[in-house]
Amino acid sequence: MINTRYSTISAVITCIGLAVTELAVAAPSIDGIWEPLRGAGTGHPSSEEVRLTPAGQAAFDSFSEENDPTLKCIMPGVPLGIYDPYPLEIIQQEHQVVFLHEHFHMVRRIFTDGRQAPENWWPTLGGFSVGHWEEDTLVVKTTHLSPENLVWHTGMPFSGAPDTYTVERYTFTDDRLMYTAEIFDPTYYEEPYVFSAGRVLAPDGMILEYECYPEYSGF
Amino acid sequence: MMKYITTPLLVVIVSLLGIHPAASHHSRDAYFDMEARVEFIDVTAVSFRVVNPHSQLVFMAKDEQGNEVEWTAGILGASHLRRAGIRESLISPGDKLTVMGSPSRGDKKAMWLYTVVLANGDVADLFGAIRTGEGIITPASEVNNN
Repeated sequence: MINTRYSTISAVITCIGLAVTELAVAAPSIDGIWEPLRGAGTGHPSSEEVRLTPAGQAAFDSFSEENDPTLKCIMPGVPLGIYDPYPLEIIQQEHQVVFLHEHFHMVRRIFTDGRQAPENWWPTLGGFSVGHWEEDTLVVKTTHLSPENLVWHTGMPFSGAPDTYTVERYTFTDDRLMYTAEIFDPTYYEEPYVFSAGRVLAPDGMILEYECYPEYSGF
Repeated sequence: MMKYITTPLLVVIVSLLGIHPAASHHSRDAYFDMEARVEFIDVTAVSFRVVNPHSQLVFMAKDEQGNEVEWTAGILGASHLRRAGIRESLISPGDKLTVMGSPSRGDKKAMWLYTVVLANGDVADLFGAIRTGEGIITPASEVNNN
């Protein structure tokens, strides 16, 4: 009787162990430094292609240097910092994926352990990011984004309304990382703003210090 | 080998440039007409800083009345230039230069800098760093002036 019980428990533990192993195997190893993939035919849409709401158009028309955090030596945040032409170091841990951007030393923590943003979490430039794997694709949803964010340097605005969020899909294939980002901001956009980009694994890559001098940030 | 366009004019719009949106950065398109090119010949360097978020060259150029006027040229940030081997020692105050880039959309004496012909005739493609991530200086001996 006791042996049977132990056998059953052992079998359950084995199954759990296999399941955990399966999950671990399902997520590809993405640690390393990823450099921008040049000439990939990707990027942001032109301003003319974007369908803005009247409020979005007004925000676009009134864009100035003061609306761009990077021109004040402040990290770009999300969505603006999702794309940058600088190396990115990815550190993969059991409970999170960490993006260490060279650009403005921006750090993003993407929680992959199932947690959600704590109640009454406040809006910030980076927001609160959670992720999960769909085969070789890391899907990242970011909420709690500040109205001080920006979609793109050309003046594409971001309302920071409570219903705004972004979804990024990072697909890893060998030494390539291709990704798309959808920005959901119905206050400013008639439809989700979408852009894509790519990176390539750089085994010998380096992250340089990105000291920012405010006196050289404007035009 | 780089093709270098010479002109007797102090400032002239010479060509259209096809800049992919993915290369657009730091509101550059909002402040500079990236589809136009402006060129200054025989200017005098005042300062050259390789810093983030933008590097900067300040130079003196003569206006149409022959007066010396200070211009500021924005350049790619230090991370790009350092990877391409560019250091602040590339340009010293007093150096005579030819500079090419895109003009400001406003009335500021400002431009976005692509290329510098250095005092020794070498050509530094300062925008090349973002296109290739590789070395961007062409020795004077290899420059085609035709």
